Amino acid sequence: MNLLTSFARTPKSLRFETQEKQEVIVLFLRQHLIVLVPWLVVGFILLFTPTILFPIVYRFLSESWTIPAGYMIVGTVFWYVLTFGFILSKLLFWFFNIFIVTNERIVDIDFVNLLHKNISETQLERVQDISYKTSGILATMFNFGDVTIQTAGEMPNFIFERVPKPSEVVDIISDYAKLKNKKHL
Amino acid sequence: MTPQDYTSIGFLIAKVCIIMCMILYAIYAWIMVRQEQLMSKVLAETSEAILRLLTIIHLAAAVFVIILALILL
Repeated sequence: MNLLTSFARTPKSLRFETQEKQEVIVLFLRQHLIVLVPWLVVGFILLFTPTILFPIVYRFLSESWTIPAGYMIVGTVFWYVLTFGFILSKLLFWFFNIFIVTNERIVDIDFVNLLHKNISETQLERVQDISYKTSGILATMFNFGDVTIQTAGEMPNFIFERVPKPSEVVDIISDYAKLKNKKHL
Repeated sequence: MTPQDYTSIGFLIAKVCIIMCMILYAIYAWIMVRQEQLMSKVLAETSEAILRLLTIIHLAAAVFVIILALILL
């Protein structure tokens, strides 16, 4: 497991808050790394904006009045801090949006924004139907898609969005759900 | 009042507004650190230390820019 792991079977160095002693994590998922690419591109553009945009703005404004050097320095430094914060918040959002499958249940941890998190779970024996969908050129090229898990009763459905290897995810969850149901019969 | 007086009042207002924005941003950076700490309780993973370090560096940078603004503006 490293900072950018998005698919791991039976990860060793991982524990979550409500994990029981006998409970074993069989699958760990995050969204595919490709979802970070648009944010990295935006971050890259923001990184080079001061060198291109600021001289133009300065030239435009200096015709009417002069901007003190202190404002230029502080403005540039603050811009880079904002850019760093923007990329970091996207990374945090990706890092803490996690899907975990254990030998007992499925856990979906959603880091909605900086002030709101949502954790939902369902027992494996409640899984009724599981399917996946890959659509688009990128999803086909990089093998990622949405996995939908329908559960019994009034429990809401689980949707693992843009996870890597969706067919493998479906196989693993199906196998463990069948195993769990056999034990209960 | 001379035009220089108007300019200096304008810069003073700009300075206050910029520093207020920076203080609000530093609060946001602090919330980011706290949220990372809370989320790392939900999920204990080895690579969290890197994220924690990044959030702390970000907070330090947000505080540094306030100090820089107080000195230079």
